[in-house]
Amino acid sequence: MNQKLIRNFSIIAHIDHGKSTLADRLIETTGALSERQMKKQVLDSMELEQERGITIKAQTACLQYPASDGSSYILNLIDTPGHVDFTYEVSRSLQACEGALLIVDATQGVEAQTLANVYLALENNLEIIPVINKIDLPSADIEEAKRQIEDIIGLDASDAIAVSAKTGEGIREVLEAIVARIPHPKGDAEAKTQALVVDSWFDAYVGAVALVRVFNGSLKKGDRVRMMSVHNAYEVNDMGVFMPQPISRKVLNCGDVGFLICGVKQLSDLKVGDTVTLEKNPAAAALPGFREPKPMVFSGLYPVDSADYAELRDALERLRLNDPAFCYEPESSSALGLGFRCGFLGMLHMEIVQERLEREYDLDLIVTAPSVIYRVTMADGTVCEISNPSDFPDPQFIASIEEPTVKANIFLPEEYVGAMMKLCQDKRGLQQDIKFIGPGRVMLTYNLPLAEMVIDFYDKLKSVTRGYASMDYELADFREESVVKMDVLVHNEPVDALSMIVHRSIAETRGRDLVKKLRELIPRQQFDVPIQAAVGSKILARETVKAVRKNVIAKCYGGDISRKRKLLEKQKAGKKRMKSIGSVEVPQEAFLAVLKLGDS
Amino acid sequence: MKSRFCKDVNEKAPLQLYIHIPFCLHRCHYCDFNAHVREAPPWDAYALALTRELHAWSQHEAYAHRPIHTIFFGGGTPSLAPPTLIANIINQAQQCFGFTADIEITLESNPGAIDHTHIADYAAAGVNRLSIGAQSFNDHELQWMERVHTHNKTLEMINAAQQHGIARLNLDLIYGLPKQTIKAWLTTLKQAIEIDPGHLSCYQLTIEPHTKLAKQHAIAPYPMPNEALSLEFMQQTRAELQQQGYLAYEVSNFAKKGANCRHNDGYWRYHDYIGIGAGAAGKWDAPLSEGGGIYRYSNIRSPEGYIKSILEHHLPHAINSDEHLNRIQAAGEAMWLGLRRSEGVDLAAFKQRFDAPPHQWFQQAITSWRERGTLIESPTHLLLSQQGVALADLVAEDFLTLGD
Repeated sequence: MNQKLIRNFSIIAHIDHGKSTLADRLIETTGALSERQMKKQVLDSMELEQERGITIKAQTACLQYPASDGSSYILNLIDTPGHVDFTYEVSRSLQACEGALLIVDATQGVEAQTLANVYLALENNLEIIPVINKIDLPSADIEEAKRQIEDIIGLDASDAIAVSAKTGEGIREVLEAIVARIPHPKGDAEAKTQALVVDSWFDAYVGAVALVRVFNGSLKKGDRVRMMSVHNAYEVNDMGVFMPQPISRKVLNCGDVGFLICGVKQLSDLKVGDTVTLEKNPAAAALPGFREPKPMVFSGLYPVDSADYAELRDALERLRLNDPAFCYEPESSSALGLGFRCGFLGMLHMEIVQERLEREYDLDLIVTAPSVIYRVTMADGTVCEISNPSDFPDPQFIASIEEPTVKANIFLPEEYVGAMMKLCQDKRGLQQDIKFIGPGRVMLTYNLPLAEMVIDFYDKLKSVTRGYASMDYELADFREESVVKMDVLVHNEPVDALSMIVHRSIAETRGRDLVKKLRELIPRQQFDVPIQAAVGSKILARETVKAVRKNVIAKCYGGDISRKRKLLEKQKAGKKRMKSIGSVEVPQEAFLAVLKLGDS
Repeated sequence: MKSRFCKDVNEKAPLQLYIHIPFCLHRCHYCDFNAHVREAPPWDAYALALTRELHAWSQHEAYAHRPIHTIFFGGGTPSLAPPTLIANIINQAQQCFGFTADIEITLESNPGAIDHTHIADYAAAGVNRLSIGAQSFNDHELQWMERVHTHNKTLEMINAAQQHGIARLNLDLIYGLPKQTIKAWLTTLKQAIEIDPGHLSCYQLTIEPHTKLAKQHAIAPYPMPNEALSLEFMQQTRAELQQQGYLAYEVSNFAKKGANCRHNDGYWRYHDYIGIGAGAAGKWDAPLSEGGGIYRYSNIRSPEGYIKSILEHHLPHAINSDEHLNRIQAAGEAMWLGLRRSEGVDLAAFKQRFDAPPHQWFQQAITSWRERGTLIESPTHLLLSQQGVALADLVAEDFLTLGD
């Protein structure tokens, strides 16, 4: 195929602005599938997925489009993941494109995610075509959407295309614009092969599958290929394109986008962003931008029932096959027993992993408070990174500590600005910008410590703005801060699983909130149980769970015995599910309390 | 022929009989007993069903040919029952099982729900102990509790009982009402003591699930005493009664020397009992040769359902649910119930019953509670300390075995 007849593009949008609908409409309009067939196609693929675990990327598709200039073009639509935790993956998808459709909801205007993704697209020098969607809705305001695109993003919106992905209005104009405005790939077909791994996923039948974009040279079935960041070589077993159903091809040429199957057993050997080259005649250098996935948020995962340890280990192993960004290593806690320290890209990633473990593998888990990576410079000049409170060095040997920060863009209605600014301030944020972006809408830009974001920032943001704010963030610099390790003592015993690394300025408040919460959660025992929060030997907060002094039913006669025994047994069974710390029974919720600080 | 059950388990294991009379004039809001208000209770049918059930149990190998030590008519309001019903049951029981010479026969009676002329008939039928639902001597409190009587009615009834020769009396009292002060409660308690009954049962009011009170409490919570005050009530009650010569022989039961309710004490000593009537429960020990656990049954709760099951369906019993506990589970239950008694668990009796000392199964629980000063080990008994009594249920959890 002549590269001049290829267009590679992505769709970038805020969640719910209509990305999937537009993609479906483009696939349908280019004639590959009728509406009915498409529904069937999607359904079939879902069934397939359920039965055989074969994953079909619904929104990555190779579209054949006969344009009004008389030529037939190949339009490769490349799907992008939709969340801040996966910024790196998004940027790889964008790297594979020459252009992008920027969708803005005509009823909502520009939102935080729109902006974050546009910046990624601009970094990749993509041609951006603004598309204003949902014009069929009565509240659509095309002019306002255009104005926001110009004022907030700084893009020329004069030739933005107004569409309704729902009704199909404007779709042909979009296709024409893709052909006319997005540049064609400009690779060298004769050069040594370089193909970018845009996405990779695990298929139970064929192993790891990669979506690749060939930048230079070509790939043929049977070629011996090498991933440039790992040194293993593989033979190409199968390759092809998604129509969106997979269709095998013998060759992927310069400029093409398609899938590649070459017997890779685990995803960690087929990393997003890596470069595929030929074993025999390898390229001199990899394509730019590759990065090892770097977990930023860490927490301990422990089985509620310690007998499930082996099961948890197996589940983590299997999960990692599918998700190379997730990492884990064994850890043991005196309070919780054997478990794993796990690393995640961000909070959402952490939630996804937990949910999969609990749902797909049917495990009951205790999750310890999430922590970020701190960069610690020791008195002797050595630098180490720590994320686990139990690794926190003795403060007398610490010269300085830096914590990671993020740059967050928050879009919200004007009336919530005060509350939002207070929240950001409470979370130690530094205001960087405030912009009025439209009637009653404001964009706040803050530099915030990542540690504050991982606790409950997003929930708080939603609650102070009644759900009207949207936020996106990207990692920013490390910042030197006064950070301490706070311990929690239950009945005078330090509970490692409750320790946390916190900023000194909030240690006391956090400690007070935490022990208060714990006092409510730890059931009363037969003795007073002091709960203390301490930094070093300094006690910051103390509460006491008062001893039970009376627990006896008044009446217990012949007819009552059976029922009352069952009540007592139920009480006892409840306690069995708790973890013993010394002689104190601590329920699971106590370990989650750290996550819910400040909710009361 | 002698039952192998007696021989196997305990030659002298006393057997007791409970008869449930489920009818009431009014259902008080706090009551979670099996009580039913009927304009005209079907006394004849109920009496017939009771006799049939009694006969059926007298054929059961666990109970056959064992003399009855105690009989208890509980309710509901047994004092509403026609004296002939009471007399008939006692009569039949004697024929079916035989009585020990010193049999204790108690009838629960509520002031305001008894015809005083019946007391003589009950006495003639063999009733030798009356348990009177006095509840309080404060008429406001009685009204709040939705009782049908005033304190004068209680006094009248006690007079009538004494006149008709029933000397063994118990008064039931309730404390810990919303906003009640300890002083107010002690006033009632002292009035009760002045009457000089041999026995007093003092219960803390608890809001039981599914009662009218629970529903009201859920909507508009009553100021119930907190734990500290509850404990204070309990301790003051025990102190006051001890001073007046009443021994707290169980969590809520107090008696002068020799005046224990032998029937109720039997439940905590883990004796066997037959229960007849709607919602009544019975229990018997399985012989050690058959595992040494226990069987327990509980009857259909509605009086009509109970009558129907026996009279219309001609079933020998009206069992709604039953359970079997193995020896260790039963031993745990025996510990729980035994520790409610001030005397505690009789080690010799336990060993004879279960063919092992409690330590064989509960060493860890015994040690840990003893170390905390909650449990006391004497050469002959395991018992709770003074403060331990208030924690009886917490201790019990460690003896009860979770079923699978």
